[in-house]
Amino acid sequence: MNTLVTVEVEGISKWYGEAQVLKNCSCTVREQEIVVICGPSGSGKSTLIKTINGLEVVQEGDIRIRNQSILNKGTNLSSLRASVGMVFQHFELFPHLTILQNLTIAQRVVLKRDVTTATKKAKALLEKVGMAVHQDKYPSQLSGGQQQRVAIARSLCMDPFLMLFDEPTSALDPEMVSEVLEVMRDLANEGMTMMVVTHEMGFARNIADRVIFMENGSIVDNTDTASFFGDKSSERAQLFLSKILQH
Amino acid sequence: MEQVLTPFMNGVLHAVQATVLISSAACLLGIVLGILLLLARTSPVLALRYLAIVYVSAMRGTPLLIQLLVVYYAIPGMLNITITPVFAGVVALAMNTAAYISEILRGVLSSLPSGQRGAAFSLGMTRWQSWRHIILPQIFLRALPPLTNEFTVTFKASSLLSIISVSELSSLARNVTLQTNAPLMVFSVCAAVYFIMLFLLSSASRRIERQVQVRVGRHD
Amino acid sequence: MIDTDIIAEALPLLLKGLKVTAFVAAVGIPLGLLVGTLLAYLTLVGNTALKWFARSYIECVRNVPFLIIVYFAYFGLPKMGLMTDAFQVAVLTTGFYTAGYFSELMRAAILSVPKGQMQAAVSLGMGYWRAQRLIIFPQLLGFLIPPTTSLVVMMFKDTAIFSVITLPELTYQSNVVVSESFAYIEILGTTALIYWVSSWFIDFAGNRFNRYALRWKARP
Repeated sequence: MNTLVTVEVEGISKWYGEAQVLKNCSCTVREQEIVVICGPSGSGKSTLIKTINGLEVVQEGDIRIRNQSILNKGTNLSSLRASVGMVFQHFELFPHLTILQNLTIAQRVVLKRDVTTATKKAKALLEKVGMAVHQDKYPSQLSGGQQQRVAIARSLCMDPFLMLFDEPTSALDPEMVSEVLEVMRDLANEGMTMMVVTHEMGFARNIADRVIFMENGSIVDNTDTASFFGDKSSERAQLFLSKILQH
Repeated sequence: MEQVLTPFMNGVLHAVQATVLISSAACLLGIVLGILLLLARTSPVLALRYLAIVYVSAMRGTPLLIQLLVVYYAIPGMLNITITPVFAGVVALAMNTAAYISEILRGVLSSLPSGQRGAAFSLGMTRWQSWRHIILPQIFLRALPPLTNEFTVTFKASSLLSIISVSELSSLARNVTLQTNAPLMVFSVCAAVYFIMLFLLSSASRRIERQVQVRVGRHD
Repeated sequence: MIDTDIIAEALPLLLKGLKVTAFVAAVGIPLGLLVGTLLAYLTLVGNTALKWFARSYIECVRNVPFLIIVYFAYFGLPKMGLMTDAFQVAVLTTGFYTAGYFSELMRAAILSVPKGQMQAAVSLGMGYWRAQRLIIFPQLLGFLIPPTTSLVVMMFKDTAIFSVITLPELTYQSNVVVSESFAYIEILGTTALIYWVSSWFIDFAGNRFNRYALRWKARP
């Protein structure tokens, strides 16, 4: 197992006014590891993953990415984010730009790549996710699954060393889920470090190295996949699994 | 019939030109004022916010005709100056349309999906870059159709300037009616001239709207 | 600087004008809502000729300034042998103009209620009209009331235009007092204030009605 630590979350807590949404959460993700985060809705899993690249700010604790604290004022958050990819539940493609432009804009303005390089990179990644033929369309002309594949490609254009997925398939029609999961599976096989918030237990069982189970803002389980789906996980997790796997 | 229409046709080009120029000038000035109002409305200074709210409410709550009379008669009287009717008319139209424009822009601003900023940030864009490349272009695209619509409203409203004796399309029609005593004919032709111009304008606006829809169509 | 005596003296006449304004609005606008609903249904379910008629009516209202329509009716209709006075012209043109705009709002509202609602109602055994009344109409109000409130305010303000055809409404009375006293600031200011308060009241009532009509909707 690779022992290099990519993400280190140390005792983070977060409040929205009175309500505490994250309670003293800690976890680490090693290089090339695939970690799935699951739990009932409102358990804080989306908030947790958004704290990793600083989209959500925590009030207590520390988050280090490759040994660099993102809460440190000296850290350049923008350049850190540029190398951490994020995929959103609602895709968040930029609707006023074509697919190709969606993939090139951050390369150009953030990484300062020239147009030719950026376009070449974008085309290669569109090819990889099977969306090359749609490069001149606008996001609204694509299906949800197609949009999400483009969104993944958009993140990959930045050559990230870590990919964060926030419920990437939960806004999709069932028949489109597999095309997105396939792209993610390929990515995992290539050795990308990934944190994935998802309800897709099949994906977790087959791909993940480790599963984190959350409830009410706390991390209840943090264990290797086999144990989690065996009988070594907590009662809460067993109950959650039985509910989700019933149908 | 020819005799009746001759005086109208003699003046119509000039009158149309005046109407177009007046409403365009009012619109441009209105956009500038509207942006200033929006800034005031969203400013952290409470007094500025209230000022903007009261201004917008006053402009939307009173007839344009009254605003026109205030700008043309009351304010110059108070300041002891005289202004030309055209100037008063353009200013009153601009002040009026600015209130609506600021509300349009405010609505567009609040309708942008909040995830867009997050997406821009997570690609490593700075606050300024996300405004420049992601937020502003979308505001502009979304605002374009309602702004063109507001322009047609101002275009129609410019007919009121005939009441303070600005010479434009409506005042031409009114004057020719007095000369010829053929109101049915003259006002019908005048209505047709307005119709053609406004119809072209709103067709263009509809075309813009369709194109914009593709580019900012909601993805959910 | 402000002469309150002049205001006090003019107030009864202005309020008398307000009564005429309110009366024209109170008769003309509902008339327009009625005709507008009819037009909306014509554009949706009428045959080709009826659809065409409704479309041209609506385009005519959207693309011709209110002032021109008022002039046409006031100066033109008598030439066609229809004897009308200023009051009749005011009510009719208000209704005419309101109808054109309202039909567009009504049409959009009808179309924005999901088709599935009608299908669900019918499959529960309701007849078409009962489903319209019990299921569609209540949902339609949410789309209809806010823009209709704006339309009512707009038409209420537009009645100021009838001062040019010597209808003794608020703006006309205001002009009468101004031409005698030259107290532009005081009189125009008071007039504007009366309009403003009235518009605010219409807005308020519209909001209240909207809240009542939408009481079934979850509020964040």
